[in-house]
Amino acid sequence: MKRWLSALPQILLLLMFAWAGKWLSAVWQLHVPGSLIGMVLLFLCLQLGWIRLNWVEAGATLLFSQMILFFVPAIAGIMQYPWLLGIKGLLVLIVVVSGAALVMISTGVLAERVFRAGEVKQHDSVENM
Amino acid sequence: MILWKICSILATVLLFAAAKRLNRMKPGLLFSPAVLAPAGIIVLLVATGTPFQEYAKGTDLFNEMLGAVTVAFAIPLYRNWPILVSHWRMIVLSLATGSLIAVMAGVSTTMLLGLGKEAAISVIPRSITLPIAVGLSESIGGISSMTALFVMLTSFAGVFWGPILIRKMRLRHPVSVGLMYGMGAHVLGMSKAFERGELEGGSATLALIAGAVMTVVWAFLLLPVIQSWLAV
Repeated sequence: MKRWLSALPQILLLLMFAWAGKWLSAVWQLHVPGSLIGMVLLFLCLQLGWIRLNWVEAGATLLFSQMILFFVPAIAGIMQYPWLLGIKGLLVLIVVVSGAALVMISTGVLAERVFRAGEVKQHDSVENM
Repeated sequence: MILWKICSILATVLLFAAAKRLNRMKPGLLFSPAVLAPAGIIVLLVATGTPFQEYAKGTDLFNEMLGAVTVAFAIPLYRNWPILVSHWRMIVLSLATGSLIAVMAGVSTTMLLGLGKEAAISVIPRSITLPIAVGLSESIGGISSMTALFVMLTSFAGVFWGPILIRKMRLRHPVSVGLMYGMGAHVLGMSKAFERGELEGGSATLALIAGAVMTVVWAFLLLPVIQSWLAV
């Protein structure tokens, strides 16, 4: 509880960024989650040195450590879809598990390819010299 | 209304604390607070005959907090920026492809299986970390609960696939391993990647955030196409 109170101003600062993002998203009709715009804003402020890391760090660490709590209502919302417990739920499971493998294979293999291509090029340039 | 809010938030926090304690005694995915606490809430709502909408209205504070969590991702992004700068080609190319495949595979398979339009839209953000996924789902007209389920199942699956895929695909570079974990298993994958090393963890963190940004871009570009498909 004490940790929460001391981190409260930092969390409020983070919330302000989220609200600013939401406002921008609404004003420009971006259809992009406002909080993501808030994230970009905070990142820019950090890069530019307008906001120091230790102004937000403790609050962020606390939020990350208790993050699951904020998901509880969203996950409990599953109760509105009882069909997920039947055959359709099993299908969802298959879709997700196979899809996850596909995503990971493509990401990993491509990253490795790009890395190796870069390696070959470096060799070439060394030999050319 | 205020009283109802306090009650629903308090019930959620208490159940979450209890779930955490239980998880410490009995570790494992099925006993994680992300499963136990919502299960407790469902039991509570069903037992008292409270409609879910009422409870959701009472706990909208948590949605605001998810926004703050998303903003807080700027900090790991800022910290790991040097990795992105030195490996940007690898990172941008693989994450752009990975997130595109996540969107396409999710939408096409849910449609083929006839799970309905709502599920197809809600599956789009399934390969990004939960706080951002819930936000994206809301802004493209999906159902956040369903997205939450897709995301959680995806990260469990990703942790399961991780070691197998590293072996089968002979991933050598720490950044590739990190990117794969971050894209495939989000926060859970991030912690797995950190177990392997600093660079793995850092690139998984980048994958988590940059992958989310790219998924948003893809969703933005592809949504008109997907919606016209779904209408047929």
